[in-house]
Order: sequence, then structure tokens, then C-alpha cells
Amino acid sequence: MSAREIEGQSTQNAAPEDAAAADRLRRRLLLDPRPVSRISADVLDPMDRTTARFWVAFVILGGLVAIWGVTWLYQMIWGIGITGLNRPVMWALYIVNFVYFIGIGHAGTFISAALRALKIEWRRPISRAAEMLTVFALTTAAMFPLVHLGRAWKFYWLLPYPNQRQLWPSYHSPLLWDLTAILTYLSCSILFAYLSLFPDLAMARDHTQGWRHVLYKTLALGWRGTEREWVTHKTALNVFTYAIIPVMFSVHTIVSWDFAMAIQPGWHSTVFGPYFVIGALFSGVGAVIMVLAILRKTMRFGYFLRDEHFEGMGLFLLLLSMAWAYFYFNDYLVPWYGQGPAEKVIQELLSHGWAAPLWFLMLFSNIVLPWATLWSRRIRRSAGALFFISVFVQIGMYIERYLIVPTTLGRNELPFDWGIYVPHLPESLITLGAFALVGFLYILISRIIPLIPVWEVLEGQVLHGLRRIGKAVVQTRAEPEE
Amino acid sequence: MAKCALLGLFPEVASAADAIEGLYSLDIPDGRISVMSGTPYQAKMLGRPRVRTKMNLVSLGGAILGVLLALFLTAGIFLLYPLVQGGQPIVPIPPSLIVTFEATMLGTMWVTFLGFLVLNRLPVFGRPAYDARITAGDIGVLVHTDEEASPQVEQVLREGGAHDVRRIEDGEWINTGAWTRFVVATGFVLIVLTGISLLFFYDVLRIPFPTQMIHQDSIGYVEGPRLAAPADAVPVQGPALINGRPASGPVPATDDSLQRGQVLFGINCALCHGESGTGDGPLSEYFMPRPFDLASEHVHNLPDDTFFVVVTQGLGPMPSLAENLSPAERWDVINYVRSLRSGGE
Repeated sequence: MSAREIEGQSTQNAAPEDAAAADRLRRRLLLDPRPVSRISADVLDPMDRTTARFWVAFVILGGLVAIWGVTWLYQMIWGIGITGLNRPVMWALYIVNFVYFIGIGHAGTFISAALRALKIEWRRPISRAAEMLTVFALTTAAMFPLVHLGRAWKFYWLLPYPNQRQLWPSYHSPLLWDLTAILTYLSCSILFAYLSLFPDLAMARDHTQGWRHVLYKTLALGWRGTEREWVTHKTALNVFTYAIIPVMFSVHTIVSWDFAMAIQPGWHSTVFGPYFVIGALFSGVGAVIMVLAILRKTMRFGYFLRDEHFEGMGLFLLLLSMAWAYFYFNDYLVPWYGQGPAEKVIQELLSHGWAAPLWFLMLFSNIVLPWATLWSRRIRRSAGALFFISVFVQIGMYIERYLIVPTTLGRNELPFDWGIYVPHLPESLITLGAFALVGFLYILISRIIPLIPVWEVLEGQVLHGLRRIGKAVVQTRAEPEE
Repeated sequence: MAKCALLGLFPEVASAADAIEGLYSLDIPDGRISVMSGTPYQAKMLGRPRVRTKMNLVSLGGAILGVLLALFLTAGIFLLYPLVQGGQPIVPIPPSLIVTFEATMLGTMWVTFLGFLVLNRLPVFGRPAYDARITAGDIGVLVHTDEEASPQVEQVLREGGAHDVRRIEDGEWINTGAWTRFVVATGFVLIVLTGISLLFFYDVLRIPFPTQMIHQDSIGYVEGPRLAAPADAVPVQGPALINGRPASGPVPATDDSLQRGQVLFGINCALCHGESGTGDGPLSEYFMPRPFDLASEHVHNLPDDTFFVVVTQGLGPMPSLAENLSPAERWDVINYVRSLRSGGE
């Protein structure tokens, strides 16, 4: 490649000590090019490798998903009464899962689209892995309204289409906004992921045989990498990037409106929209960190997923933790100052009622632990430590949703109607199955599609180089004008 | 002149650009050269003119489609079936903005994706000129030329630095006819499917799907013209129940009326309210709160119609006496109760 040649020349001219410095720099991402065929092999070979560990994970996760299926069937036959749902807590674990997994689904777009828009270069190898997490988390989340529906087979009553019932869903209702937003986000996330996949499917098509070749040939639709294809591809990706970021923000805002539009104390808050969006990004970035750490270890993606990625993601996690704390404080302070009777009851329940252990665990996981650790560059560069912190972030954010949904709902303006929700076995099994489903789909897809966007990595390597400024050799990035 | 095509494979950008420059010097026009690569290169890196696409226009069209869809969902439907909900106007602006935003984005992105496929004529049919080495790092320069000029072109490609030049045979072309047929057929199938499903939705074709709805309690909607009410039907139980109006036709407090009232009071009221009406009848101790003291100042300041409503409908533990006493009899009792105080108890 010409860019690599120029880069070589510039360092040849450097003094010997500079060459050593350049060598150190070269170990950084995008500056140590390997032959293209080797990079393709690095991505494609792990897809063929299925170790014993893979099959153990496959069976365990698949089993949990099957348990979900059986439990759901049982619930359809016997009705929603087998769960712990009862007056006044009619929204509980299913809605918690819905909010939680939609939140996880925000990270992929955030990392893929927002970092693309901001031209942050280290995103190149990780965007696909994040997009896939978005797709699977959203798929899982989209199933929960159906599970919650009870008579799941009537879900199509929600859709606006001409029907003999002459029934039109009301677009004045937040639930319909929610349906529209989630269908938009889910379908467009899939299209977005597919769009950026074309060049890699073509790459996989040219480097595989047998059923894989047939699969990739079909999916690549005959992509050849002509000039016109690349130009339209770039423009289309641009349109998706700038269109899907506001959709991402709108989705969790509308999820928050499902709550905030009700006059339930503890929900009826104007800060709920941005507060939910930040919480979603926070848990989502944590989940992407976990996925990247697992991928690096099990699929030997060490060349693509470097400490730089974990450092950058750790920094995002810290920033999002601070932003979350800011919004949570806002949401706590205003009702606390107002001392409305119902809100007071809810806040006392959190600070010294039965919910206090959960509340303090949430504050620890979401604020204390990230703030105490992530300031350190060494911790941010360690995948293991970040994985550990991210697990706590997941716990903290799940608890946050649990406190917002069933716990708050158990306390309202009329004390005769108070109650405490206890999860029963069916919804606990289904919740377990939901986590398993995301993992199950992920390990399946990890063996089917290339999880590293090879073309983006190669593009980055073409554009990056080293340059002498004075006595130092520094990394530069070419940004050619159109 | 027989047509043919040559595909030169170059290991890097600079040599491909050199070869393209050489091709231009052979007076080969832009349209007959096409470059393929595994990574995106800009046109100017290859010394090629910029490709102009209508992609942005397509996206804009998608956005407009989305807005129209949103207008139909938020305004069209509600103007067709005006139903007031939650005190909102028929077409409320803030909620409509939310749906409009989502539908616009939906239209933009879906149409962008479809436009991407259509502008590139994807999926490709036939056997296009291509080489698998292109995704292994090579840059392919495809030149459409004729048999006469092909040795010259091959020479230019090799001099430019191509490590391989392939002759593309006649059969290896993109079959755009098949693509057009595919797109038209897909569109036709979609339209037919939509049409057929509409027949089901509007009950032109009926399938007796099993449904539990017939087992539920249900009534048909009321068809006009509405039936006249029965002759003796009145909308409320006597005008006395209309709040704030005097009870109609109170029986005058004649001696006869008071006498009847006394008898009826003894039968219906005295067990609880006591013979003297002070609320100390034999059964009074079983009630909490205790029966009212009917001789008290408070009770006597109540208007007539309150008395009537209480006797007719009951109040708290006191049962309705509507079945025991006709309206006239109720007025007799009320006259008697009024006399309990004026009697100087």
C-alpha cells in the first residue's frame, strides 16, 4: 500500500533513537499492518473453531433459553396469575427486563454511530461487536412486552393496519410511541449493521468454501467493491449515522415517558427522559466492555482489541457514571425538597425501608466503584478489572430499574393500596432466559459473521501513519478532503 | 469489432493510479474503466473523476415518505374517526411530533438502504467481472475495450505494475436484465400479497379463525332509530332527587297527614329512632354511628328534599324505605317528623 510506503520512508529518515520510538508507536493500533490475507484469516479462522468450552456455553445458554420457552408456554396456558403480579404492582420484572435490555441496546449505536460521527479512530475494530449486541439486546427487549401481554398471540392488535375490528390504536398514547420507536430502532439497527457488513461478507465469500461460501455469497448480494459501490456505501452509512443517533436518544426517552406520563409518584418527573438515556448508555457501555473482554479472550482477537479500546471505553464508563449520578441526584433532590407525602414514603423506603440494601448496593455499583477505580489509567487498560467493574455496573443498573418499576409502584397516594412485589418462579426463570438469550444469540453469530469490520480496520491502516515533528516521531491521521 | 474486457490486478494504489493514467493516454474514456478494491479509496487517490450519486436525494425522498406516513397515522386516522381522548384535541400537536419524528427516521433509513441496493443494482445476477484476490488486498482495474486494442491495454496494465491481467470472457457480465426482472417480480409479489391480505382484513374473504371472543359477554351496538321509552318510564326516581330543587308535590301538613305519618313512623322508624324521634329506639344501641336525633336543630334545618332523598335511598346504616312507603306516605312521615320539634319536645 502506498500509505505504508510513505510511512516507512518517513521513519527511515529518522535517527536511530527515533526508530526505537517509532517501533514503540508501531505496536499501537492501526500502525502495525499485517498482510490483508493474514488479517482476514485472523477474523475468519476463530469462526471455525468450536472448542469444548464453546459447546458447554452453547448447551447451558441454549438450555436456559429452552426453559424460558417452556415457562412462557406454561404462563400462556395458565395465565399471568402464576407470576407475582398483583394489585397494585402490575408492572414488574418483565418491564424491568424490557427497560434494561433496551438500555443495553443503546451502546452499540452509541459506539458505532456516535464515534463514527465524531471520527474517533479507535472505534474501527469494535463497532461490529457493539452493533451485534444492540441487535440482540433489542430483540430480547422487544419480546418482553409480548411476555407481559399475557395473551401474547394478540400482539398484532397493537399494530395500526386496516382490520375488520375497525380498531385503530391511538397515537395519543405513550405505549404506541414506544412501539413505533422500538420498531424503528430495531429495524434500522439491523439495516445499519447489515450495511456495514457488505464488504466483510464479500471478504468472507472470497476466503471460504462449502456452506459458508454459499451463505456469504447469498448475503453479500454480489458486492465487488467498485467505486460506485464504495461511494454510495459511504453516503448511506453517513445518513444512517446521523439518523440513528437521534432515534437512539428518542427510544429510551420514550421508554421513560411510559413511566413519566403516569401520575404515579416517583415516576411523574420531567427529568426522566435524559436520566433514562444516560442510564441506558451507562449500562450499555458496560455490557460492550464485557462482550469485548470475552471476545478477546475466546476468539483470540488480541490484534484487533487492544488495551487502547478498554482504556477508551473505561473513560466513557467513568464519564457516564458521573452523568448518571448528576441526573439521579436531580431526580432525587426535587421530590426530597418538596416533601410530597407519597414521594416521601418512597424515598424513606429506599433510604431506610426494606429496599435500603438494594438502594445502597446500586449507589455503590453505579457511583462509588467506578469513581474509585476508573480514574486510574492502569485499571482502565486492564480488561479483567474493567470486566469486573462492568459486572457491578450491570447489577447496579438492573437494581435501578427494579427500584423504579415494582418498588415505586408498590407505594402510591392511597395507603390502603400499598403492596410489596415478590418475584415468583416463572418470571425469575424467564428473566434468566433473557440474559441467556442474548449470550446464546451472540455465540451463535460469533461463528457465522465476521465480528471485526475488516474493511474499516484496513481503511484505518491506510490513513494512519507516523510523522516527524522536530525530534519526535508522532502518530498522524490523514483526512483527505473530498 | 468484438468487445472484450481486461481485469488487471495491482498490489497497491500508486501502481493502479499509474496504469489508469496510461489508459487515459490511450484515449479510453472514463466510463470504460472501473476500479474495484477491498478498502475504500477516494477517486483522486486513483486519479479518477469523482463518482456522483443520487444517494442524498434518495434519503430525502425517504424522509418525505416518512412524514406522509406520520401525517396519515397521527392526523388522517383521527380526522376520519374523530374520538376525543384524554381531553386532547383531535389532532394534538406534541404527541404527533413524536410519531412524526420516528416515522421520518424510519422512512429515511429504510429508503436509504433500499436506495443503496437499487443504485448499485444489488443483488448482482450473472457472472460479474471480478477476482477473489481483490478482497485479499489487490486493486482491480477493469477496462472494457475491443479485441484490436486489447494487447495495447494489456501492455499498459502490465507496465503500470499489474501482477496479473485476466481476460474476461463474453459470458462474464452482469445480467442487469435479470436484476430488473427480479425487482419488478418482487414488487409485483409484494403488491399482490398486500392486495390479498386486504381482502382478508375487510372480510371479503372470511376464514373462521378460532377465537374466544364469541364466548365473552357481548352486545351489539344500538341501531337507529332508537326505540321509544316505555310509557311509564321516567329518567330519575321522581323530581325530588334533582339536587337543589324543591321536592314536588309535598303533601300539606294537615291533621290527617300528621296522623298517617305518626302511624307510619311507629311502624317504620321508631324501632331505631325511638317513639319521640330522639334516636334512642330499642335497636339504636346496635348501630354505630347512632341513629339521628330527628328532633334536633340540625335535622330541622335540612331542606325537605334532603329528607325525601334519605327516606327514599337510605343513608349509612339506614336502609332505603322506598319499598315500604309510597311517595305520598313518605311526605306524611316527613310532616310528622317536622312536627316532633314544633311539638315542643
